[in-house]
Amino acid sequence: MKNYIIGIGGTGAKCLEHLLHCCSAGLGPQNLWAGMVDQDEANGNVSKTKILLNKYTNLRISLRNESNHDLASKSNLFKTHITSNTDAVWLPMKDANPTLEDLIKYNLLKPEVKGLMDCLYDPEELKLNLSEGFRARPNIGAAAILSTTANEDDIFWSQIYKAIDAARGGEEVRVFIISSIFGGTGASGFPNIARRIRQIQKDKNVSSNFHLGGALMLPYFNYEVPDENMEGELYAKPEEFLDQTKGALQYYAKLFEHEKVFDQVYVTGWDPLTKLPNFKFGGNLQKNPPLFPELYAALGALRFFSEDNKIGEVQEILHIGKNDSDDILWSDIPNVSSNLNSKTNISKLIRFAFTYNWMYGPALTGSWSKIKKYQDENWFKRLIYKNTYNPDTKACEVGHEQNQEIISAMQEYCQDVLTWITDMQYSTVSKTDQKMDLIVSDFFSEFNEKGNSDRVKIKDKLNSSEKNQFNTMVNDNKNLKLLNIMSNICYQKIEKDQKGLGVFMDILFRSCEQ
Amino acid sequence: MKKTFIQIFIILLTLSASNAYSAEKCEPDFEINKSTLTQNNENNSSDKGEVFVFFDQSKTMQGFTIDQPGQENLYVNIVDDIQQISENIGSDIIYQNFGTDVNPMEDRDVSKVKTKKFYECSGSSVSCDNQSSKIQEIFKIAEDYPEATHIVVTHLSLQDRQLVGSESKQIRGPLTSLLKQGKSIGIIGVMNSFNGKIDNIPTKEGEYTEYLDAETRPFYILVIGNQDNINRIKDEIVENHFSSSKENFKYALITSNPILQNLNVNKLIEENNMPASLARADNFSFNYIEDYLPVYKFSGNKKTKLEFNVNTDQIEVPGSTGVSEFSISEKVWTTNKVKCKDIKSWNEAKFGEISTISRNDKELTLNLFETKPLKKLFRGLRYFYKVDLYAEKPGKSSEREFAEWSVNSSEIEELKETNPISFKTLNLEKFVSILNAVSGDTFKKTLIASFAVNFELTK
Amino acid sequence: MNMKYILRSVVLSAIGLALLGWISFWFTTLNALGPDGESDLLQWYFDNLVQSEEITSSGIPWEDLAVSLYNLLAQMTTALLSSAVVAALLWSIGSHFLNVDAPGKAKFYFIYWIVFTGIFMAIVVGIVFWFTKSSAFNAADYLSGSGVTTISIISFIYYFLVYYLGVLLGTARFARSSILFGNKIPVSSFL
Repeated sequence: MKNYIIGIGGTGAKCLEHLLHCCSAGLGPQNLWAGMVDQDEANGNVSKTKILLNKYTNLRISLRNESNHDLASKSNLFKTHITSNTDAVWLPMKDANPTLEDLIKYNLLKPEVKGLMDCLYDPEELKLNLSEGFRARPNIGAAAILSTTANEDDIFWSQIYKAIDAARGGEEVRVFIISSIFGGTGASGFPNIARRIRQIQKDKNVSSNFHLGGALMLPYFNYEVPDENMEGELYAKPEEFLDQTKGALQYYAKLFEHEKVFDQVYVTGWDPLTKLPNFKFGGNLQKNPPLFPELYAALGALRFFSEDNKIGEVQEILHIGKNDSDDILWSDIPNVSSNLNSKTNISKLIRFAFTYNWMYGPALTGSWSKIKKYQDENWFKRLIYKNTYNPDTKACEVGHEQNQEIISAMQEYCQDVLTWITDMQYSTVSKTDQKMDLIVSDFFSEFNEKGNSDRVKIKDKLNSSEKNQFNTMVNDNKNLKLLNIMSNICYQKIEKDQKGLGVFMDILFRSCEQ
Repeated sequence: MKKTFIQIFIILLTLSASNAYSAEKCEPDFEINKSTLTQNNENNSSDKGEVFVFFDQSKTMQGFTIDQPGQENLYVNIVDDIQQISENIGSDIIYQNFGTDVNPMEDRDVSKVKTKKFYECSGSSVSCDNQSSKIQEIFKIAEDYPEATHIVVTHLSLQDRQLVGSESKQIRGPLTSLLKQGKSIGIIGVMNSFNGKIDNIPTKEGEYTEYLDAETRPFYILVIGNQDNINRIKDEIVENHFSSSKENFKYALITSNPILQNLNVNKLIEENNMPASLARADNFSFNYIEDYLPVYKFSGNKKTKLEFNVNTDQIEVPGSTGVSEFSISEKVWTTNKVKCKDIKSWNEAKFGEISTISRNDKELTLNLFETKPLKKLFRGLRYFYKVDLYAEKPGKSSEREFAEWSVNSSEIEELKETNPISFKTLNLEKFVSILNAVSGDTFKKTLIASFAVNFELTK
Repeated sequence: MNMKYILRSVVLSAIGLALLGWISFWFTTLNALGPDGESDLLQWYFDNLVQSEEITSSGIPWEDLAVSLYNLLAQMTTALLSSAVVAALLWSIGSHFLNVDAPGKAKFYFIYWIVFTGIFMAIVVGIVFWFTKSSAFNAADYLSGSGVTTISIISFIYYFLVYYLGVLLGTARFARSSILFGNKIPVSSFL
């Protein structure tokens, strides 16, 4: 099965961030192509997701290398083989300072067509610099996207064409798009990209093996817009989100009534809306924190890709929500499938990240002269020494540069995981009456509500009593202690095909399972 | 019918009791050594027999009949006592005097013994001076009449020649014979006033000299016969004259058997011959086997103190030389069954020397398991330790007793030159040692006591 | 704590104990059966363990006396082997609860092992002393000074080795650095 996911706009990018972590936890499909669509190339969230995607793919390449380090096929760590284009982001309008006027070549239009354009768009809208997105103007976005999505030679859209070709060839293909129902890029991209894909499918006479799914994010956050310097500016106004949503839902209702665009649509939102402190027009300063509803969208996508998910002829619209109380629990996180338990895998990933970041990563970092003090310990001997020993040089090469790069990259990724879950937990319920205690994070991190990129600061080192709080870190669980982890990594069976650092990484990951 | 049942019941009860008794036999099989001492002692009959009384008629004896101012003269009284006692112990009294010869005396002459006239010499001064007292003649007579009691009153100063060679044999031979026949010799010494001449004092030049200035000098009553008569005579003299102080009295009994009795014969061995703490030991019992051998039975520990004590006056004839050397014959049997009813056989152990003997003036002590201490024995075994206590050699206490009154021939001249008031008896110690030597030769190893200790060690 | 790992330790510990422990078991059985008049063991005891002269002088045949010595030795070796087994199993199970929860921590628990082993060896010494020197057994009287020394030295070394093999194989993998030479053995990563 081939799977494709497209995150549209900032929301789409954020949902992809959640999805990447879920895939590293083993919740994803065997393979996945990922791409993003955002006119705002420098969008902070899009950049963050791009970086995370690179980290994921690089780590996966390093650790799924049959000749050096191999987690082996049975491992769920970085299970999903995620590919993307060199530049994972597709810009509908690629020029340096694109405007709608330039896109439709307004000056070259016949007068009557010009007149039509004048009816549809304000002059400001025609001249709006679209390099930082469509500023919550789906009408602008729709025009831009519709005019540029048909290009088969485009490196991004060629993937879609290939996907549909593969479906015609008999292989099952599933494509999933995520965006918000409000805002700019997402609101305009979601229906138009979906319909465009369906059109290509129709043009290529592909009637089976191809499924299209989507996650539609209803409003789940708002923010305060500062009064100064906003006059005359076009921007996404939070007070308009609900109206826009209402309008959009009416549109989709009509659309789905007459046209089966999606096989499955996952709809989610949040109430009360999460209050975000930052307002930014766009660009790299627009870096909103990860929020819980985005996880729903990601899990919806993973559910769509799951082989257990039997897609029928009838279009399905699925709603994902939490319990009615103000407490957000692990039970509010739906499973991807009957044998992929989201809570189990995500909590496993969190524990893995903790133990690697503070216990084992530091032990493996440095030169051999620093690391060798562990050489008599069973875990090291069994998992590291034997698997990084070079019989030619008769030395353990864990301290060598290429191994250290992997160890360091993994530690960085683990910090990203811890930051992600901490940020999501704090930011989702900030300034609301809601409470989310999926994990206890205050002993290993500090949260700065007003920060932008540095909301969460993970501690460099933990003392003994802080480390001992590991066993109560994940709530609603019979908790594992660090002793259990150590015991598990010493006893877990090494899979046959595992090699190099992949041995240790996978065993540590498996040892973090309850 | 009823009577029959009762009879059967009684028989069965008796059988089971005897079985129980027999099952509880807790000793190995061994022969009990029984004493022959009583047989010897049976010879000491107190039937009256002849009494021979010999008075030394040598001139030097005259000094005992003349009072010395300031000194007590008991000679006359004692001579009277002897006459009286002789009448009491003898059926027939034969008085004799002796000097160079032994001559019979008429009864009426006996009273003259107390006078100085009795001792006057009618011969020449050569024959009268330095008369020797041929005491060996008396021993010969005594040998000839072993059943009689022979009493000799003499100064007992003997020349060297009388105590060596053939003359010495004349003392030793008869004495040996007498001692072998169970007879004894009592020597009663009395320091008496003296007013006369002590002659026959040998000089270094081989001559003889005399001494006139002695105010006291001992005389002796030798009694040869059975111990009862000897003791009787001694006791009478002590009672009559030395009841308040025995300063001037000495006594020794020379006998081939200084052993008073065997302690087993009359069951004189008791619980308290062992330390009182033993009676408090677990499972302690004390009883006699075959009415003869006392057995101390107990369960002890390796620190149990085992000491067998017996008073010497229970063993030694009072006044005798006593015993100078004791020995013990020891045997140990062992079994690895502690409970008596489980014992099937005993094994004889080879422990070698086990105990030691020590004594002081009053008590003889057997330090049981001193050489082979209890801590070297094994717990879980039962031990049966039998001890026979023997007298090996008679003592020499009488020599020590008379040493004070004795002077030998090499020193007598020097003594004389010191002008002593109290003169000593020449070669008295030598004479007594001869008697001791003879008694030693005739002494037979005598079983004094036998007992056994039957024990197990629990810790 | 994962019961599976603990059971594994118990089994491995039992294997380690059995490697040398079978000798003790065989020896105990031999002694429990009692002396056989012709056996070399009886003679060896006589020549090396007991006060031969004293026993000979007691008059009782050695074979009869030896019954209680055999009984003593059977009970002593049973007690010693049981102690070694219990100690090794206790350590093997307990090692799973040592708080070795981070790299580099295992070696600090060497002190725990030393103390535990010291207590076990003290128990061994105590058992040997109780059997051979105290008043608990009459047969202890038969033993000579050199015999007691021989028994003590052999017991000390042998039961330490039995215990050591038990803990070497049975200790939890992550705590094996707490055992002397624990992680130096060639197949430690398989145990």
